[in-house]
Amino acid sequence: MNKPLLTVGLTLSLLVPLCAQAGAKEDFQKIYSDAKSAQKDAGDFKWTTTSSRLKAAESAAESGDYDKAKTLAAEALKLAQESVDQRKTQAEAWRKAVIGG
Amino acid sequence: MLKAKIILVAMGVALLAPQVLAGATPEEDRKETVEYFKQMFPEVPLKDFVNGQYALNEDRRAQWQSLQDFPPYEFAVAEGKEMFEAPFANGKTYGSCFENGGIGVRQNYPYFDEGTKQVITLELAINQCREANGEKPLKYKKGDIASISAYMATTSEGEAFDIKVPDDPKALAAYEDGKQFYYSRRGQLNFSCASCHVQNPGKWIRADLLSPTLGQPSSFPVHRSKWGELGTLHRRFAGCNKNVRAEPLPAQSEEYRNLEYFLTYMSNGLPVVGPSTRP
Ligand code: HEC
Repeated sequence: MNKPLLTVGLTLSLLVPLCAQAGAKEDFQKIYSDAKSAQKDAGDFKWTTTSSRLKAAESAAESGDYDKAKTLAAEALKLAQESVDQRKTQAEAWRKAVIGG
Repeated sequence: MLKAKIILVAMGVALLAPQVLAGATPEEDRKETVEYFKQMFPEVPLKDFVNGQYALNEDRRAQWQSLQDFPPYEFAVAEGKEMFEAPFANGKTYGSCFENGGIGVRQNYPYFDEGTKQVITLELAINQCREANGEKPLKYKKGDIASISAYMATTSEGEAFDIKVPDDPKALAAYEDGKQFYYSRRGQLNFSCASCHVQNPGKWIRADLLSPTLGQPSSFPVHRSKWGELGTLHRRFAGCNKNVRAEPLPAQSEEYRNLEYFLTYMSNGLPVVGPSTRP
């Protein structure tokens, strides 16, 4: 039996999930900060659904579940981007709805 | 070729211009709004619009009128009167901050303050009065401020709203800002205030009957059975924002004050009838 190889193998098998974990954490942090800044960009067109995803992402991250946190942050990012689009569209579109307009 | 381009541009401008100009003044907006709802509900007398959904449905109105015999806000109004009359620590009262001692002034709020260049709502004025007299400001959505505001409304019962947009570009900008807020789609559901209250009043949305824009602020503060207490207009704004999954803005934020300015201007000439009850 090759002891050193076994040790390497064991160490690797322990390290791999840790690495994945570290990657997920960084991925989460990037997406989360993008989502936060998109939400800010939405100004007074923020959606409550974005806010709740952001909160849920934070608490998932706090409990160390970065995969879940990442998924939630990605959802928040998508919603926030849609609300930014809404803000931009409405900057002119509102006029068409005005009575007598 | 160049000529054609110029003609096209000119046409574009010509097509755009009337849209931008339409309803250019607040008074034109108001008249068009009144006309719009008169046509939509020809059987409703103009002054009845202050009753919101109850102006539009006889069964609901009958139910509501029977409730008015023992209004659930009576006690809060009495408390509001007491607080209104009680001296602050410095011996002054709310009356010292308002024209005519604060009696019969509700119909003039909100107004544009030319000194500070901002819209002053009644609730903001109440808190400014407190702070000017060394008292802590009250919370804006319910509780004492709603009771005081309700009492002040009763002293203006039947007085016609008389909101003014003074000849000041900042005042017009505040009004326009409120108008834009009312007509802009918001939230994940992509609804504007107007989607419900201009395009669909008289229609049911689940168990709720939608009220028209006209007369919307006249009954505030209102006692909602859902709340089990009195709440201010900005509490209602926040609720309507949340219903379409839009993040509400803080009560008395500049956005909501401008919104109230526009909305109340639309009800100029209609009587103050607050407080009232709502589902
Ligand atoms: C999805 C539809 C919907 C949208 C959008 C909406 N509301 Fe409402 N609103 C309601 C319903 C339902 C009620 C309760 C029934 C009624 O009085 O119209 C209500 C009530 C109100 C009332 C109280 C009327 C009264 O007589 O008591 C006010 C004021 C009001 N809304 C303002 C607004 C404003 C301002 C906006 C935009 C920020 C808005 N609403 C957006 C559905 C909506």
